[in-house]
Formats: sequence, C-alpha cells, structure tokens
Amino acid sequence: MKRWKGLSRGLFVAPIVIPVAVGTVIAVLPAFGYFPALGGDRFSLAPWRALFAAPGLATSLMTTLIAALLASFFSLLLAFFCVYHADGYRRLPILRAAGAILATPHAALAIGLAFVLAPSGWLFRLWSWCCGPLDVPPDWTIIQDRNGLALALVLVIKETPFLILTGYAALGRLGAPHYLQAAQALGYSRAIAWAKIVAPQLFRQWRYPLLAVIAYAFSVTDMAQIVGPNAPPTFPLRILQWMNDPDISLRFTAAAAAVLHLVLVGGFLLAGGVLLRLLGQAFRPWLSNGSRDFPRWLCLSANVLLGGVSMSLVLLAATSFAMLILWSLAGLWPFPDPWPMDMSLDHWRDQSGMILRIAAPAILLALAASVLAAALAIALLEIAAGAGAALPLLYVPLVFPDIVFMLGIAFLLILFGIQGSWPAILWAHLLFVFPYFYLSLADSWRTLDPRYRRSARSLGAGRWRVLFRITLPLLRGPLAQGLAIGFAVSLSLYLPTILAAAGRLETLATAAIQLSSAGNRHVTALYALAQCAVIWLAFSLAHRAGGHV
Amino acid sequence: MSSLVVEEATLSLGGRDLFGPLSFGVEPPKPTTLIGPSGVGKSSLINWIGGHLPPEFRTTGRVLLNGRRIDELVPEKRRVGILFQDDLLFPHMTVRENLGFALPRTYRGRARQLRIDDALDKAGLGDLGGRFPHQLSGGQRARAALLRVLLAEPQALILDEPFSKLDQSLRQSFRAAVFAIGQERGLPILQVSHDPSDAEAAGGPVISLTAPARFPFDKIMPLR
Repeated sequence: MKRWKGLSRGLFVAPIVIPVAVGTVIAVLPAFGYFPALGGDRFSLAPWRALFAAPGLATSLMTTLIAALLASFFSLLLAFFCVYHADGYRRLPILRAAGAILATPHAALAIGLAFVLAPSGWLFRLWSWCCGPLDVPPDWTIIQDRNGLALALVLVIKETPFLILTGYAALGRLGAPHYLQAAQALGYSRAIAWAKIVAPQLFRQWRYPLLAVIAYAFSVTDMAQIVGPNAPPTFPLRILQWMNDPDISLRFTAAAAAVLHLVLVGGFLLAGGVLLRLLGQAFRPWLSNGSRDFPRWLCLSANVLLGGVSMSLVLLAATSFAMLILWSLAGLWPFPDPWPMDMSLDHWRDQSGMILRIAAPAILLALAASVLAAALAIALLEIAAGAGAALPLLYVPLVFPDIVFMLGIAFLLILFGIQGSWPAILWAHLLFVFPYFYLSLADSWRTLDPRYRRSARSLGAGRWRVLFRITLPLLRGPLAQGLAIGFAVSLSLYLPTILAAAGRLETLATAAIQLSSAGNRHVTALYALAQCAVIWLAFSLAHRAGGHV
Repeated sequence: MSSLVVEEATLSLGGRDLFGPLSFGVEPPKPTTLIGPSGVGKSSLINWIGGHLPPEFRTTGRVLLNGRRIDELVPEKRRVGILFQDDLLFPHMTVRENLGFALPRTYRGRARQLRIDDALDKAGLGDLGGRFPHQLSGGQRARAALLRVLLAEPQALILDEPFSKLDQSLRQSFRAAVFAIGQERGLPILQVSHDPSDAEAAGGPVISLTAPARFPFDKIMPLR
C-alpha cells in the first residue's frame, strides 16, 4: 500500500518534473551544436562562438542582472513591511490591494504603466496642464530605458503582491499570534518580537516563493517586451528572438544562450543563498541576547518611507488601469492634453469581432487547462492525504527559469513535429497551471480538520462519497479560487504560448504584447482590458461559487 | 508583600456581559485558582490581565500589580509572566536561545551565560541547552517553558492551564515544581483550571466564576 502511494504520487508529479528536466537537458544538446532535426550533426562550440560574438551581449546581461536584482530586493523589502502590517489591524486594505494587483495580468499592467510614465504619457500631460505647457514630449527615455529601471519598477509592482499573499499565508501556518503573545509576556514589544520571533521563521517558509520571484525577474519576457530596453533587449528576450529567427542556425545560439542563462541564474541563487545564510548566522546572537529595545527612529522612518512607497505603487497601478480605460474610449487625444478631446465606444465596436475571435480559443484553452489541473491536483491530494507532503518538486516549474526548459521543450516539439498542435499547447500550459492550482489548494486541503472525513467514513460513507460529498464541498471556496487562478495563469502565459504554438495561436496576452510595440494605444488598451475583463470575470465567478474567497 | 489585585472588573463582548463586577486579590504563598465552566470568560479575564485581549472587548475596572496600575500598559511593560496551555518555545531557537531571549539585557557576557547554565542545571536540563524544542520530551519542554518565564523576572505568574496537556504523573510533579518556585520567590500566582485537582494542589483561595445557563440541556431530554 505504501509503495503504491509513493508510486502513484510519482506518477502525478512526473508530468510536471520530467518535462522540466528533459527540456533542460534537450536545450543543452543544440547548445553544443548537436540537433540533427535542424541539421546539426556533430558537437561543436560554434553556437558559443556565435553567442559571444553577438553585439551588445554584455549590455543585455547587465540590464537583465540590474533589473532582476533591484526588483527582487525591493519586492522583498516592501513585502516584508506589508506582511508585518497585514499581521496587525491593516490586514484588509493590504490584502485587498495585493489581490487586485495580482489578479491584473502582467501585460495589461505593463502597458498601462507605459501609458502613465512614457514621455508622452499622462504624467507629463498632467505636468504640462498644471505647470506650464510642453509643446512636445521631453526627449527622455523613461519606459524602455537602457538600464531596465522601468522593467524593475513593473516587476516590483507585480511581484510584491505575490510575496505579500504567500507570506501572509505562511504566517497562519506558523501560529504567529501565540508566539507573539508569549514574547510580549516576556517583555518584548510587538515590533521587536516580530523581528526576533516571526521574521526568521517567515523567511524559512518564504524561500520557495522568493526563489520563484527571483527566477521570474531574471527570466521575464512578456513585460520586458513592453517596458524593457530594446537596443539591445534583455537577455531572455534575445534568447526568444534567436529562437524565433527565420535563420535556423540562430536556434543553436538560442540554446547556448539558454544554458548560459541557467548557469548565471543558478550562480546568482547560490551566491544569494550563501549570503543569506551568513547574514542569518550574523544575526543569530541578536535573537537571544535579551535586548528588548528597537530604535524608534528606525521604526518610524521605515513606516514613513516604505509606507509612502507602497502607497505610491498602488496608486500608480490604479492610474495605469485608469489609463487603459481612458485610451480604449478616447477619440483624438493629442499630446499635451490631459484628457481626450472626445470619448466613444467606437474602438470597442470596431475591434469586438476580432477580440472575440482571438479570445474564444484562448478561453477554451484556459478552461481546459484549469479543469485538467484541478482533476490532477485533487487526485494527487486524495492519494497523498495524510502524508502531508508539501511536494516541493511542484515548485520546480515556478522556480526554474522558464526560458531555459521551455526552449528545450520547443526543441522536443520540433523533433516530434507537433509544435503548434493543440495537445502540445495544452500540455505547455498545464506545466504552469497545475503547480499554481495545486499550491493554492494544498494548504486548505491539509488544514481541513480530518475528523470531518473520519466521522463521515464512520457514518458509512465510502471513500468516493466522502470526497464528493464532504471534502470537495467543504473546500468549495479554495477550489473555486484555485480554478480562477489557474484560468488567469493560462490566459496570461506568454512565453510557453509563443514557444509551444510557434506563432500558430494568438491569445489576448500575445496580441496585446505585439500591439504594444506597434504603437496604437487605443487598440493596445482594448486588448489589455479584454484580458483583464475575462480574468476578473473568472475571479468574480469564483467568488460567488465559493461563497467567500 | 507583593500582590496582584483585580478591582471591579467587568468584561463584555458585543454588548453581552461576560461577568459582573469582580474583585479579588492574589497574594503569595498559596496560588489562587480561578475555576468555572467553559465560555464563562476565564481566559478573557487572564488575557485582560496579561494585555492580550482583542480590541472587540469592552472592559472596566483596574488591575494592580504591587500597587502599580498595569491594565493600561502595553503587554510587555506589565511584568506578568504567563505559562500558556502550549509551551510556545520558539521553534527556530535552541533551548539556550529561548532562555537567552527571556533574560534581561542587564545580564551581559559571562554573567549572562552563567545565569542560563545555572537555570538549566537546576531544572535538570543541563546538557539539553543546544537542542531545539522539537527534540525534547513533553516534560522537558514544560520545564524549559517555566524556566523561560522565570528568567524574564516577572512580578506575578499566571497559569493558563499549562498542566492540562501533560499526562497524570508529569502533571503532578510539574505542578508541584511551579508552585514551589512561586512560593520561594514570593510571586503571586493566579491559575485557571477546569480540573479540581489543580485547585486542591494549590491549597489557596478558589474563585468560582458562574454564568447563567446558556443552553437548556433538559429540553432535549424528551428525545430519548
């Protein structure tokens, strides 16, 4: 029985972990020149020579590194601050704001932000309106700046909510309130008790989400396309460009670049891990040295500074969204005007047919992926129930740079000649949807009081009946929430869609991103909003179906 | 003499009074025991004394510790040590570190280490200082939690059913140890309990909180 359990658990994890492993290995082959399907018959270092000869390679790597470092550091700092306050009386506003930003698709947020911050964007129009007119937009590069600062900013806005929500969930698991009480009874104020008791434990619980955020910041392609630098673009984007270049020989360069990317990210994570461990060691004596005072000025200035930054970022996200709406309705809107000259539903009317044609298959795909993910996850949890396995392996697709293994998977799909087929695309989406669904459900599943199930069994209900009449109805809320998350993930996936579909499937996400570089703000806003609308519809349906979310 | 005094305490939640004006004093050497049915507000009362009552509660009255009013202070300034139902040893710290966390900063360097070693030895935990809480037995954890409370040098001790999760033999010996230490240090001890044997062992005053019957159990008898 026990062995059977282990085996079946392995079977469920296999479709997630194996592709990542295989994808990575497969990416290594063409990196060294070997991939007969594309005409590479023997191993060589030619791809590496081509890679290192690529112009602007160092710049690409530097911008990627800077954006990722800045984004990871500030996301963590802000999330830490917000989780501390979410643990007190400011819980609801913080969690609501985080949830709203998290539910906004990456592409839409980045597009909206560009509408606000660009030299011809709303901020400068507002400036011109109230502080003296500007005739032409200032000649500054704010969006798509060379250093990737705009990219880092969007990453912070998008990743901080993810860390806040995962951190807040971890607090619940730690039983933090009781430990805080105990520490206060020993003479510690809440702030310092939090720093000495909760924070060290929180970091341990936070490591997978943190790794995911760092890996994401290094490998992001969709938002980099919109707000990242373009001459030269960030490193992951260049990998994607080489992979999609009509010149087939460049795919070998792409593979070599993916391997380099993996080595760099791995090295960075390793160095970061060592650094954190050393910091932990350095701080350890402080935990138990009995000091109960915390510099008040530090508390105060952190509150003012980080609180101010957090609120401005929320405001910026809200303004970005408002800009999407405004542009989708705007008629003529020449530069220094802060408001459009006229507004109408013309763009919506003109584009609705096209949007529906693109949205329908994407929605079907998202539905199929999330339902399939739900079935898999429920089966896995039911079998592994009691084992209490967190199955950290499932984090692999979230923590591992997706550009690397998806590239290998694209090579694999080329090899079997199924690139662009529906099963291939669905599978690629499932790779990402399943872990998110599983992670959103697993906590509630494990904390569900096992005595409900036991008493149902004792009342004579069989295993299936208990599953469908007791467990699943009790978990209706988290289940509905998980389905909505899975749906949203699938609908926002950019890189896996591009690589698995080979340009044969256009989704709302890929369409919005492509349009954003074409420069028609009205139409771009429409597609971004359509994507938001579908995702929010899913979340509100889930909210209703779950009773509470 | 040291004392913990509760004067004219009333607690209410959502407009419902938990108990009427209640006054009592706790003085060493014998621990005072608070008993009563569940839901009557025992835990809320000691949470109020400790400063851990959620803001939804409305309270009147005063708490005095050695003549000093403490009910308006933040929890960490009250100097009331609490032994909770769970030991709540911090899981990311060793036993030593847990004790160090409690010991005031006035002990420094060598004196600090000696103080902790001494406490560990006296409690029979001499060689367990480097272990993490999850590596200890139930009895060892209970003793470590007691040590931790005492090292913070409280002026009163509240026992929130810390014996209820221990097995019978451990319960008796641990209870005796807690009471003995409290007496030795002249600490006022207030304990909350469901178990009459806790009150007997304490041998001090007993305060019985009663509440109007909330659910008429006799009404469901005809079901039989």
